[in-house]
Amino acid sequence: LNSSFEGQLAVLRQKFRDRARVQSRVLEGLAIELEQGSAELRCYAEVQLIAHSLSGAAGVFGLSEVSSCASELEDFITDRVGSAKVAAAGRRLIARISQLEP
Amino acid sequence: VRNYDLSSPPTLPGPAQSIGHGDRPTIGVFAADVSLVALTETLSAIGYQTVPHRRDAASQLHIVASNVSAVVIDDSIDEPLKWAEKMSAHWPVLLITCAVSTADRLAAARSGVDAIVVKPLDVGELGEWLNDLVGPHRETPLSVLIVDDDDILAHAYGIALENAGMRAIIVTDPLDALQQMTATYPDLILMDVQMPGMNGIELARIVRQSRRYLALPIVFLSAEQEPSRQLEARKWGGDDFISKPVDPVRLAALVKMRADRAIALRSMMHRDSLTGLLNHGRFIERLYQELERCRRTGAEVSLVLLDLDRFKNINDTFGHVCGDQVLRALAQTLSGGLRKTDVLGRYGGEEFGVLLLDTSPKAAYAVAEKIRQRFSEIEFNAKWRKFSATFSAGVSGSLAHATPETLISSADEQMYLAKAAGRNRIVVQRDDKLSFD
Repeated sequence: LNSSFEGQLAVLRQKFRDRARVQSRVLEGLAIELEQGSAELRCYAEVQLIAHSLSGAAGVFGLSEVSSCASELEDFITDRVGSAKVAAAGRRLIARISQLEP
Repeated sequence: VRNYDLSSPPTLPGPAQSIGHGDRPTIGVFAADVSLVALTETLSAIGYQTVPHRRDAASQLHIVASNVSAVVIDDSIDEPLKWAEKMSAHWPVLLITCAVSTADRLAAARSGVDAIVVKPLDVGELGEWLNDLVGPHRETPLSVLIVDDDDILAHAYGIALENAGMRAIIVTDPLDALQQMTATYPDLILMDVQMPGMNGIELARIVRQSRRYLALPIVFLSAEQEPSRQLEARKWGGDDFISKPVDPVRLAALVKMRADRAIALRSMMHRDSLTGLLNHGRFIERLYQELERCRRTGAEVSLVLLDLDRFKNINDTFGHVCGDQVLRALAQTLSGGLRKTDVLGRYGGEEFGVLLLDTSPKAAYAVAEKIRQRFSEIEFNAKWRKFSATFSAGVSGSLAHATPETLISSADEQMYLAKAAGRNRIVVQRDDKLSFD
């Protein structure tokens, strides 16, 4: 691999981390709705969209733990496991994202 | 695009010289004295520069300094496999040999030999092997259209493909994909399945509605784990399914393999199986395209139609296997004497067409004449004797004949004039006021 490729990939990895933090903040609000039992279908759809986006992209940038947490969250919504479990999976994903380097 | 230069005198035939117009690489040749002359002449006839192995020098260093692309070893030299072993550490090695048992082939393989051509030498086979071993390489990189609504991901795929030598065209709105396809005609589409506005499966269905894109490979790249959904994606035109997440480097390798295979299949569809040249239909299609380009830009192209002389006699006297060797050798000689940009096709049984882009009939004549001389010097090996073959050709140009029909008809007429004048010659259309026959 040439240095230019690694450099370009590093720039994209940073963009991904910045975006993941923004998505994490949105996810935080959605998790509260889920924990309070006030979540509407729209809320599940939003969570699924964020989880789907994070599961694919995180893996590409070598962030396998974020990717697997996001995949779990996506699966929970597909399997309709209930709001509490979805919220808990959301919290795990938020925690993983907070551990990413700045 | 290199134009044919008529200012320099024609290259004289002889060993270790190429025709001068082909873009083929240099070949290192190891053979005993008598075979060396014949082999270098043969390689030269099909357009390769040669560097003969010299006994009086440090051969390996000499070959290295000559920047060769492959090595041909004739088993007339002492210990050919020993040389093969040394050379194969650096270059592809082709061995010309009488020894063809499995044990011989195994020994050759263990010495690093990549290809074997069995004596008596078939020039066509030799040329085809060298094509495979050293080129011709693609002049343009593989182009891949990436359709993914995730801008960061799409660019990550893009830089991975570009790092692997491909060209990436990125589309983040699937509604723009068709327009980009028409503009760039990619070799492969890599697309996400879940996208807003239009998902990947819907886009694949739209792509497959056009006959032009029926053979274009579509590879889905998705986190979709559901087998029925993956099956649906394939049903509607997807050729492959790569699961996300995927390492960018691995992705580039997978895409390249898929695109290379698709291009090889497309090439087979467009090419004549015996000679590897464009088939009649595809050649005519290119002729139409190039004349249309000339109409738009004012450029000039010349068409050369060639017909092997007394080819029926060759078949009747030496057999169809020998006849096929002659056809393949002519294909190799033509390929070796032309630029990569020129268009070359098998027009009919023993008839070939050459379209020389941005070339006047006068320049086309000069190129064809050198090829005619070279081809007539090739020695073919029949079972009981050696023989040579010739061709006659007619040349016409697009300035005088702007439609495909008249251009072909004119070249055809000149070719028959060449035949009538005694064969083994080239005649240019009278409109160009040339008398080269």
